[in-house]
Amino acid sequence: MEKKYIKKLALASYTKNELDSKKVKKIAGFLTRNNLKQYIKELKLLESQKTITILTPSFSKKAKNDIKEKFAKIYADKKVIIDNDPSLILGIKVIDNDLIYDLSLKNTLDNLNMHINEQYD
Amino acid sequence: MNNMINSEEIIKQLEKGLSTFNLDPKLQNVGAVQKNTDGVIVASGLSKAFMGELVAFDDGTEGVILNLDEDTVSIILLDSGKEIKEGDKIKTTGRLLSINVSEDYLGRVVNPLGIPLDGKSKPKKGKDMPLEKIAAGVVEREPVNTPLKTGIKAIDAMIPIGRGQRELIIGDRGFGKTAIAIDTIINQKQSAKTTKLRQVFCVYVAIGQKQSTIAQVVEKLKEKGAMDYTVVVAASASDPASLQYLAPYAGSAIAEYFLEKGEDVLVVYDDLTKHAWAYRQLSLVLKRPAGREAYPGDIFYLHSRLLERAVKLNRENGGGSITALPIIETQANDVSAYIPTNVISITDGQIYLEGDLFNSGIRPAINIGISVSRVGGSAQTQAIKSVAGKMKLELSQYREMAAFAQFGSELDQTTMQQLERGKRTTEILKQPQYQSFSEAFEYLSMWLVTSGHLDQIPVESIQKFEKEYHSFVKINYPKITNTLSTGDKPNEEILKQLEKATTEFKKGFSA
Repeated sequence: MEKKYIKKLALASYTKNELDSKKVKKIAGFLTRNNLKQYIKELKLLESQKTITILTPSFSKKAKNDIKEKFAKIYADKKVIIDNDPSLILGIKVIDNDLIYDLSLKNTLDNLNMHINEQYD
Repeated sequence: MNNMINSEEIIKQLEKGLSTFNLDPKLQNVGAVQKNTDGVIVASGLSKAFMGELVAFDDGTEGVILNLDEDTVSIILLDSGKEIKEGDKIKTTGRLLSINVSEDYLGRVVNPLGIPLDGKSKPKKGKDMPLEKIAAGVVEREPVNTPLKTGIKAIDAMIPIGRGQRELIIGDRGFGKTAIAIDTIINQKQSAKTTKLRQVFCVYVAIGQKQSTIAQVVEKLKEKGAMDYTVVVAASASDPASLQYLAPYAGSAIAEYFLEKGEDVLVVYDDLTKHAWAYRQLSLVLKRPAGREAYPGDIFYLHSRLLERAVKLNRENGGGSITALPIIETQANDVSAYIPTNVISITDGQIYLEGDLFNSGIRPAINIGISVSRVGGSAQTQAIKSVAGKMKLELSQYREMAAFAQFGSELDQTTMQQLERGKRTTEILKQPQYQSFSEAFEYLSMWLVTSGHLDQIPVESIQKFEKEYHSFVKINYPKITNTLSTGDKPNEEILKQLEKATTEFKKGFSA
């Protein structure tokens, strides 16, 4: 089966923006091993496109909820996941599929380090 | 105490360094490796990446984007990339591939990314020059008007090269293509010293050659003192195809650095056949549609955009120039193959080397009949021009007559004379490798043969006569050589002195 049809099948596996397990099971039953592999790949891609991951160094539940609320408003059609990453030191990191908005202190310090290294190479 | 570094000075330096730091967070675009095949990576993600963008892998390896497809991008690796596995992260850098160039690069051997290969320390940082750049436009250019002396009599007389010209050197393997290019580089030292022309900086780009060959060339350049004004860019046969593909562009970028400073630069691309092979390999791995001889459709553009960067800028734009000497290796003298015809049509002329001539002892084995220089004539000095025209005519008459003479029929006096003159002209154009001639000596040799002074000298003694004559004039008549070095057409007085010197020399010469 052509790639574009598998892509269509992956899109059709959603009901109201949520992955429908019944549909997935039904589709998977008709696919060959190779096509199934491609189908899973497409589903994974769609899932990552529909998910926003936010990394924060804070463990406070309130802060996490605040962030989640704000981002849920910005990305109304996407699922917002909040995760902990103490290595960021301060700030947040937003991962939107293949785009990363790194607004953390760690990133700034890393860039500064790189800049100095380049200057005095 | 004076030698101690002042803490305030350190802070000042740091502040200065940090003043250029951009605090704005950068948007990072990431992707993941799907496939790693023969130096080409197919990756997903990277939706914001652009053509020719530099990307970085987790292990520090870098690559350049060459294909943008619907869901994937194809990246050529600038390293072997053996460690790169499926699923590895890739991030965009937002930069185009560039090479950092400074004056410190002169005398160095570097790879196409600017990394030294000669085991010496890292060159000082200079300016980032993009590898891919659109060539200067019509408004910034002026016609070729300054000669670039090769020091090879046959070329300077009959196929003159001007600064800013693109002259192809074409021929089978082993017939002296590289030798011409190397001689030209070596000659730039004495050319700057003995004439009023400016020093030409040189860039020698070795593409797909054996490491031993490159080492030999570098050694020779060092020995002749030519490395002082030369940069060698080397992508050997063992380097990845991507580096071989990038090498000529890196050479061009280095040349452009000096061009921006208003200097004259000579770039030798040795050779573009192997460059086309490297690009064909990449294109096939990238699954681009293959055309004639399996080369991709844009093989012409590959070389035309490179050679278009050869330029003679006008005074308002600095007045610098980049002269390109691309080399093409033919198979069995076939100049009508795909890549040779492409490059012939791009360049402003070609120097064609032939095996038959080489084997019959005519070296450099230049076939004057089909070698041309389309723009160099206007750059020739008045002195050389005054003798080269006659020599060219005599030589073409000789070639025509020589064909007739083979029938063995009786020939009249004039034809006999033409044949004898032709033999001597051919003989005087012979020149051993690494023995470049100055402007004055080139004139002297050409004048000798065209004025008939060699007609009585046996052909086998011509080389000896020439050599001794040059040193005789240099020692006894320095005024003549000094005047001829200016490149101006010699006046009556100089010609009279020349006649006198020749008669004097001939008396003492024994063949």
